[in-house]
Amino acid sequence: MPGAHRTARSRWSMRTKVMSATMGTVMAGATAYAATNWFVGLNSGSTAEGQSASISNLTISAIASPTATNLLYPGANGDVVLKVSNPNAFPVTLTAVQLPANTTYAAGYTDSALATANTGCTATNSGVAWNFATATSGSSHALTAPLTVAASGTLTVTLTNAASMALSAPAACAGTFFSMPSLTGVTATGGAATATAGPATDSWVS
Amino acid sequence: MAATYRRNRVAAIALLTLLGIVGAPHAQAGAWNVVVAANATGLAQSVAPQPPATVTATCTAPLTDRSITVSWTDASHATSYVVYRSTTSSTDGFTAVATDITSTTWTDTALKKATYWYAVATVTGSSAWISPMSNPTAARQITTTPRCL
Repeated sequence: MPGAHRTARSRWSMRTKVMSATMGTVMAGATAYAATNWFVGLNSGSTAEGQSASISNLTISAIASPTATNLLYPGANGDVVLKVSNPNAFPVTLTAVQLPANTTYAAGYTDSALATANTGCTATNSGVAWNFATATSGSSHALTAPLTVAASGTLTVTLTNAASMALSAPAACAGTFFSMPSLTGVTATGGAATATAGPATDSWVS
Repeated sequence: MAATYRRNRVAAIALLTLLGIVGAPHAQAGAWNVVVAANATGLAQSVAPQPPATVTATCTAPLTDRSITVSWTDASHATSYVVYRSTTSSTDGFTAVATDITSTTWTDTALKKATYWYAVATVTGSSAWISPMSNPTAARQITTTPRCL
């Protein structure tokens, strides 16, 4: 039955083609979605752990310029200035930060390079914490606007009034620079986006 | 014929495997965890309380009144001020005579015959956060008349 064989072969080939094309389309779409929606976490001392892509760490560091406009004093909030470095070949957009507990305080330094500790103003007594942090570590706080860091680029950001100082802060903490407690994570998406112009200003309000 | 089927099946499975449908695990869209640096921090800075830049002492009218008004320029981040007075000299003997002053003027009344110097310090946030004293004012005298000079 050569004819029947031809028909069956043709049907199988057509079925294969249709199935393959369908699956290919589905997976292409899924891949595209995955490439534009990533949750970015901060895990102490670890390296990138993307499930199916090679993604390098972001770095968030303290920076002295631009100088903060709003300064801390007992009972007041102050700005936090930082630099986000993105070593990846694609832009990354930060949408939220995860904060340590509000009982985790910043250590004080006598210089903006954070090289010399202020021995009278430490992580034990400074009372300087992230604003809106809760008693539980890892609380998430949405930025007022997303921040996009260019591919292989950096972005300097002033987080307005993102730090708070307790009324109990000792006088030794006056005129001091603070290394804010390490963020426990950030939420970010990766993929095509227009980089935010720096230096930028942002924060969260709850 | 069977060989052709096998070729087709192998090709299909290979394609699906390549696409991640069969065999190998595949990425879950929108759920990739990526790590950032270990010490993700930022820089904050605190105020160093500064005294008012200018402090003056003037005789309060009428001059026969035994009072002196102390005025000063507003200091940044000031929540209140402390006024100091000395009857010894412009450099010694200052003691606090008024605290928690939230305006930039204060009047010293019912003064006795003496020479008076004043200085002001800024409080920021809590009483523990106080600036050094400002430069002293010029001397003012209350005479026996009584009169303020």
